[in-house]
Amino acid sequence: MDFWLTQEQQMLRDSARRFLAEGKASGNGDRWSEMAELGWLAMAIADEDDGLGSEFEDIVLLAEEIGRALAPESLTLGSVVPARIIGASSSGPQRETLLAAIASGELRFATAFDERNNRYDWQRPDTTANATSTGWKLSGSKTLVAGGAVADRLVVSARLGEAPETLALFVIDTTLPGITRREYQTIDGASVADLDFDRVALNASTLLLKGAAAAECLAQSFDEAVVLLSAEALGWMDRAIELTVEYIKVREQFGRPLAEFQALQHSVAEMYIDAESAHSIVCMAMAALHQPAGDRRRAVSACKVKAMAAARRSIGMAVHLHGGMGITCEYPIGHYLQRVTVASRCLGDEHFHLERYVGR
Amino acid sequence: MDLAFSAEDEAFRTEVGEFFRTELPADLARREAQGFHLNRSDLAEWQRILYRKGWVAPNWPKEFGGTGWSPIQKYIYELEFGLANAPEVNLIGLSMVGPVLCRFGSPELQQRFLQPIMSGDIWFCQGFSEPQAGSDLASLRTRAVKRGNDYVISGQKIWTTSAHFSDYMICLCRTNDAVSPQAGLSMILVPMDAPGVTVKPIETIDGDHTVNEVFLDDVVVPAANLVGDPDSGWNQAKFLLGNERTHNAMIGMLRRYMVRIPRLIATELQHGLSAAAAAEFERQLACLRIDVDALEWSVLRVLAGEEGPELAAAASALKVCGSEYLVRASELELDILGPQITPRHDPSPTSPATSLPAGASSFAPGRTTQHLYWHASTIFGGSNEIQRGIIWNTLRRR
Repeated sequence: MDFWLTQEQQMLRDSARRFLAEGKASGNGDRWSEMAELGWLAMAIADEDDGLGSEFEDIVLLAEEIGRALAPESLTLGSVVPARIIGASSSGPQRETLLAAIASGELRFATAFDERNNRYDWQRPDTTANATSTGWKLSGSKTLVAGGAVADRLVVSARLGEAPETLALFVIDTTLPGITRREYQTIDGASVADLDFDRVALNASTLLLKGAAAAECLAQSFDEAVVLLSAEALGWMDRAIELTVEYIKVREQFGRPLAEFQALQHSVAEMYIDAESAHSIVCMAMAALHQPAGDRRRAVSACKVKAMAAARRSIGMAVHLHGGMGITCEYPIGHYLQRVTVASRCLGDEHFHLERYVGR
Repeated sequence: MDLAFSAEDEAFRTEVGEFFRTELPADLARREAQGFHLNRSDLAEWQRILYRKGWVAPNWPKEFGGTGWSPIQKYIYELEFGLANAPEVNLIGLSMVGPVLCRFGSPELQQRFLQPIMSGDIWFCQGFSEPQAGSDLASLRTRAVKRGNDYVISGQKIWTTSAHFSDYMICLCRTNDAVSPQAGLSMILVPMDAPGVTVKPIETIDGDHTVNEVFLDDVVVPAANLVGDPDSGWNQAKFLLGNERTHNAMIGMLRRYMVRIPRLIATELQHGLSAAAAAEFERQLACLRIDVDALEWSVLRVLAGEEGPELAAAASALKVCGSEYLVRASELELDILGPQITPRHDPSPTSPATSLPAGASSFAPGRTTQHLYWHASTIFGGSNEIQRGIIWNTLRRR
């Protein structure tokens, strides 16, 4: 066992930190094509599929940096999860084309799994796909789809309208007739969309996985996404500590810097303790991703509960220690509080994960 | 980065677990699980077993009788030790004095003390804190004056665990007033049977007797009992306390609670505990277990870390978490047991059930005692405020 970053990992982290702090978009939109050039969109694609086949630890490092910079691009749901699901489908020309399009950033992908009635449970979609002579007919609604407004392709979950009910995963073109999209903003500034599917006709080839294979792949992808979101929280917390230490060293009251008051010093120490604990639980979850599903689920849920609770508490304290400035949009610290407030209720909230942790 | 335990580590875990299962006396494990403090005579046999096995001093260099284990192996040993309800033997001698003597002691001191510390023939207590020097340790006043080939020591120590059955005290004394408070301290090994040494018990709120006051009145100690150079005691004390760095996370002890608490809930459900209350306790247990999971991996990260300010901060975080979680875990047990925690139980080596009220849970003895004792853990080993101060000092210099 060792926790050291390899030289390559240190380089990845340093270059990611630099790019995310300074890197500008070449066009009008976000920095997706720049991220493709850096190879980030190919990390979750296997070597043999012409991806980078990166270790999951490397993707976690990147997620930390994305968190630290509060980058708006959703690398996890826009590239990692689609790449995993498409990568798990049976091979053929379509699969190769799609994976290449993820890696190059040529097509934008989004993952549409959340519904109004399934409360974080990706395994129970109400959206249905009924068999037709040429393929499938998709009906239902997805909500809060990150990047859904600009996506060219969607990875969508549905249950097949046959007995017994079977989970299925499709990849669909967002311009198909019968799809309506409504874009809106989340409070942390991201773009999401609701999508309605009104008897959308799909080719037979759009079905990626079904049954146990779909359930297993979705479960694994969910767990990976949870660990990556928790890793983002590590970046928020580390940055929040830096910003807060800087701020209280400079801000003076009663004729001396706030940093000289022990009550405040100890509050910052508590932020550090939270951040350290979160780092540790992310390590535990990373290690568990290679373990049997039951152990993996438990560890991943522990990770989400701990990382988000630590982040809510420490970033809440950071905002408090910034005084009135903490709640202004002008200062960066409040943006971390917006982010953790949203992220705590994405990919399963505390109750959802505590229930998974105790095995209910 | 490699986050898996190796096959060798897993084999070691099995070996250690098997050793505790076969060699740890069952009655001793039962009493240790209750949480009453065991005394030296209770522990003598267990120390001999560990000594014969060669596992009594994992923290010592191999050439002095240590095990030569990797940090991960030491961690596995400590965790399994706790899970097996194995009691610690002479922590001060084995985990603190031993490593200090190996590092700083003269060959003569090493010759005299190391082997008897391992075998249990010599027990040590630690004379650091004083009535006026708690968190501010460097302000201590106990004075050692050189007179010929002796030191003459006068002063008072307090909170001295196990002083009432120890043979020696590792005593931090002031030997030089002309320098800064830290630079004028020395470490001297004081025989507890020397004329002028008086031990007075301190009764504590847990109803147990573990700590004492120790009065030193012109105690004459041979100068050969000085550890290392004169006036180098502060550095040695820092080295000594560094040895309890990951131990302070109390992972083995916390894991014991994680095993016992579900059994308490199950038992009390048979005795009127409501399903709603049980669900709430289970929720609290899950949150605590997750915190302990994280703490366990924090220990692993500290073990793998490199010396420096960042490691000092991380070690301080371990201490804060370990002590706070112990208070939380033990309080949760009291909530679950409800009214059964109120009777006062005494540590009884023979028949644990005799003092129980009719129909009481056999889990009850020791639970309240131990909870009250854990309130000392946020203070000892450097109070949690001292630890937060250490963390802040790292953060402000980053």
